[in-house]
Order: sequence, then C-alpha cells, then structure tokens
Amino acid sequence: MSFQKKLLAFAAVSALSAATAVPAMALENEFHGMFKFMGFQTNALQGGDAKVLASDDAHSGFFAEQRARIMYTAKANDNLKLVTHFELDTRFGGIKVTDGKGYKGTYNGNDSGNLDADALTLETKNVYLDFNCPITGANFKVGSQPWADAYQSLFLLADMTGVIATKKVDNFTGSLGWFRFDDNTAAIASTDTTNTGAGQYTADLIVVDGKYAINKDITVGATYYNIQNDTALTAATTTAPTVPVPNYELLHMIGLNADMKFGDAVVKPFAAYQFGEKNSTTDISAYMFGATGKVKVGPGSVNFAGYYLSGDNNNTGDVKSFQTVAASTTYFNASNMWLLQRPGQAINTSTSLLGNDNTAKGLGTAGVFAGYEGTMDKVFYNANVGYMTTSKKNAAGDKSIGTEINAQVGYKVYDNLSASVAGAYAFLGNYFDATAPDADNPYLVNVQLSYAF
Amino acid sequence: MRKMALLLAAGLSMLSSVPAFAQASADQKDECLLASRNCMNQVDDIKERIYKLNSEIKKGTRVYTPQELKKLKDKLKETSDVLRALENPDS
Repeated sequence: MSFQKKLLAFAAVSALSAATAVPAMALENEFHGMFKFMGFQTNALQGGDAKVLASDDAHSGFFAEQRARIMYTAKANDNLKLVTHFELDTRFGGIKVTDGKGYKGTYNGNDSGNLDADALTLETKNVYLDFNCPITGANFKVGSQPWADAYQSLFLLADMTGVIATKKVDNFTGSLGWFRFDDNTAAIASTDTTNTGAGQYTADLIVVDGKYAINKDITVGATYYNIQNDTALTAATTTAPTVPVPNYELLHMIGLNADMKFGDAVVKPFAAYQFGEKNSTTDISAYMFGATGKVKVGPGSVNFAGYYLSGDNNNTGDVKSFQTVAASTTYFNASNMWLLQRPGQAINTSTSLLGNDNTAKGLGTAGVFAGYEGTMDKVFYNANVGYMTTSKKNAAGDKSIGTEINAQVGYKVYDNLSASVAGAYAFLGNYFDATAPDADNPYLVNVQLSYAF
Repeated sequence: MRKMALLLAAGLSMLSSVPAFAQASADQKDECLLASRNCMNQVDDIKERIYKLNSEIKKGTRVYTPQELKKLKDKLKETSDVLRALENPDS
C-alpha cells in the first residue's frame, strides 16, 4: 500500500471514529411529559378552579377534560442544563365564551376543546437554568422553577421566578433561595414623573433550608422562610394594587421537619411557627404541625396523615391564623382525598370543598386521613377515609367540615399507561349549615387515563 | 488495498458496535446513567429511567464506587422530582 493510500485509509477510519464519538459529546435533548384524560360524573365539581359545590338540589352532570405537560431539557453535560416545561389544558367541548370564571390557562373561550379546536392553550410553567458551580460546588437553579415547602405544601408549592443555591457537605444539605413572586409595578406612563421603574411594589420569598442525615434512615431538617410584601406599601395609589397577594406585609416562618424510617414504616413529622406583621397595627402569631406516614401491611401499605393549622375567630388583637401565600398554591396530597382536599391526581379541575383554602378564611383547619393502597400484578387499588374540621368555630358556632370516603381501582395497560375508576362521597358537616343548610352531600365518579413518559 | 478494506471494515464494525456499549450487564456500570456517556440510541421514558436507576443502585459497591453510588442516588432524586413536577396537581 502506498503512503497516499495508507493516509487515505487512516483518514477514513479516523472520520468514522469521529462520527461515532461526536453524539456522545453533543448536547442531549431530553423530553419528558404526561397526558391525562379525566371524566367526571358529579354533583359538585364546576370545572376549573371554582370550589366544590355545597348546595341544595345540586344537579349531577358529566364533563371531561385533558392535560398534557411537555418538558424539554437541553443538557450540555451533567453539570449544565436548561429545563423548560409547558402545559396544555382543555375541557371537552371548550368553555362558554363569556364565562368570566375562567378555566385554568384558558380564558374567554380560548380553549381548544371548542369546535374545530385551533386555540391558544400553551402555558409556560418553568424555564430555568440548572448548573453546578465548579468553584463552590453548589448547584444553582436560576429562572422560573417549581419550589415546595418542607411542610407537605400546606404553606406553599408554586412555580416562581427566582434563584436557589444548594450545597451538600457530607451529610448536610443546605439551600439558600430568593423568589420574586409578585411585581405589580405599573409600566411608566410618559407623563409619570414619580414612578422610577420596575421593582417598586414587589413580594419576595427568602428561603433558608438545612437538612442533616443522621443515618441512612433518619433525616432532620430546619427551615426559615421570609416573605416581604411591598406590593401595597405606598401612597402612590394609582400604581399600587388594590388586592395584594399575600394579604400581609411581613412574615417569618421557622420550622422543623424529619423523615424517619423504622423497618417497614416511614414517618414524616413537621411543625412550624409564624410571626410577622399583618399591617402597621396588627401582628401575626400562628403555628402548624402535622405528620404523614406509610406502613407496609400485607400486599400493600397503610397511609395516614394529619395536620393542624392555627386559626382565629376574633377580629381584634393579633392574628393567630396560619398564613399562606394564596389558597391556589397550597396542597396536602398525603390526604388522598378527592373532595375534602384537592386530589393529588387532579389536572385542570383541582379544588376542594373550601376552594383549596385550608386556612378557612382565617379559622384554620385540621384534618385526619387514613387509607390502604396496594397492587396485584397490573391492578392497583386504594381506599381512604378522612375528616376535616375548622380550628375555630365559624360565626354560627360550627366547626365540622365533613367526612369523606373514596376508593379507586386501576389497571396498568402498559408500563406507562394506566386506566382507573374512582368514586368519592363526602358527608357535609355543620360548618355549611349557616350558608347552605339543605346542601346535598357532594360526590364524584372519576374515570381516568394517565400516561407519563 | 486489502489492508485498506480491512481497516475500513474495522471502522465500520466499531460504528455498529457502539449501541452495544449502552447495555450494562449485571457487573457493568451504566455509563449513560452515571455520566451521560454512551447514551446513543437510548431514549428512556421517565419511569424506565427511575426503574433503571434503582436497578443500578441495587448493584451497590460490587460495581460502583461510593461516590458513583451517591451520584446515582442524586440522579434518582432528580428524576423523581421531575416526575413529581409533571404530575403536580396544580389547576
């Protein structure tokens, strides 16, 4: 073989080798997502955010809805990626054009469930950069991202714009974060000489979180959350919002939590105390505590959960009601309820008897929940019972919100596709007597197809 | 000329053998899960990824170093968080 031919052969083999090696070094495009279809036969759900009805002669009806979520991650390497997450919600048949109630993500009839579809339904949930800093060794997430508290989301779980840094040192994991979840500063009018620009009327959340793994079975955590709400602290009424969220000016929340495994049992207790300023004359002093757990029993496991949020039915003096940011950003999925609490499987219609307001407009609530879940080959099932009450009596002197029983049976059609049927029934308590004395007990039957990839 | 053909054949066989690297046997490390290497032809859905990560973690120190195991556990948490975000029931 001549030198030229050898060179040619070497070049050809090198090119082929390079061709095989390049994809491993290139950007990884990672797609994940989910699709859920849900059909409801119910006398209580209104579709969307509106709360579960407690009304006399409530009519039963059937409606269906769907949700798709698409997550695209552009991963340069294990230390750097951009995460994007989108959502598409639709009610079958669309929603009435003039319905001012809105349907999550779709307003004024802009719902592709309408005749001939074609509508804007794409929502942006997250867009954030996730990278490991080579200097500090900390992980940073910058941008619009999901964040959940360490208290089963009774305080806050939301997608928010912010920055959070997390660093692990041996068994300790610490996080420090800042989120700006509200900036109501109005755009500067051409004639406005008083407003100096964005960032004037804002609400911010500061997060300090520490977790320490004592051993492989026990982790303890401590947190400090701080909310500074300056959205209404101004005399410039032309630019300040009339209804700030949250409805307090300053909040400190300190708490402890743990994750403990004892043989076949897992228990997660938590407790927190809040203090701060409702406004310039009223202070806040509130607390919460609770626990969730799971114990393996037989072919499945027993789940239990409970919580208490302090309340106040006295309008004078300091406020003792547990504070959240907004009802729409609170959860207690460990309850496994469908009506008393928003269901953990919910999509577009994600609400409860109190409209997700576990503070019950300041009265506070408490709940105890238990259930059993298991699988048999491709069949899965669960049954649950729960009870909720307000922490303080309402104006009529009543507290009991109600008792719910529910059950679900499903089948795994494929590894990633499951079909299920669920039923839930709630016995209303006397809390509703003052506003709806003859209210029918709410119920629902749910059919569901769920695909995740 | 025959040598050149052999060289080319060797190169082609390398090309065709690459996807096989992605399969990790009981005593092999899964480089794709561990370090995002040799991920060609792999498109794991999220539940399969969680299943695979659990399987690799179960191999323990027989296959992985303690640091690598920690990395796999971190990835399992990260993937579980992604699934949780996808299924979060916000309205």
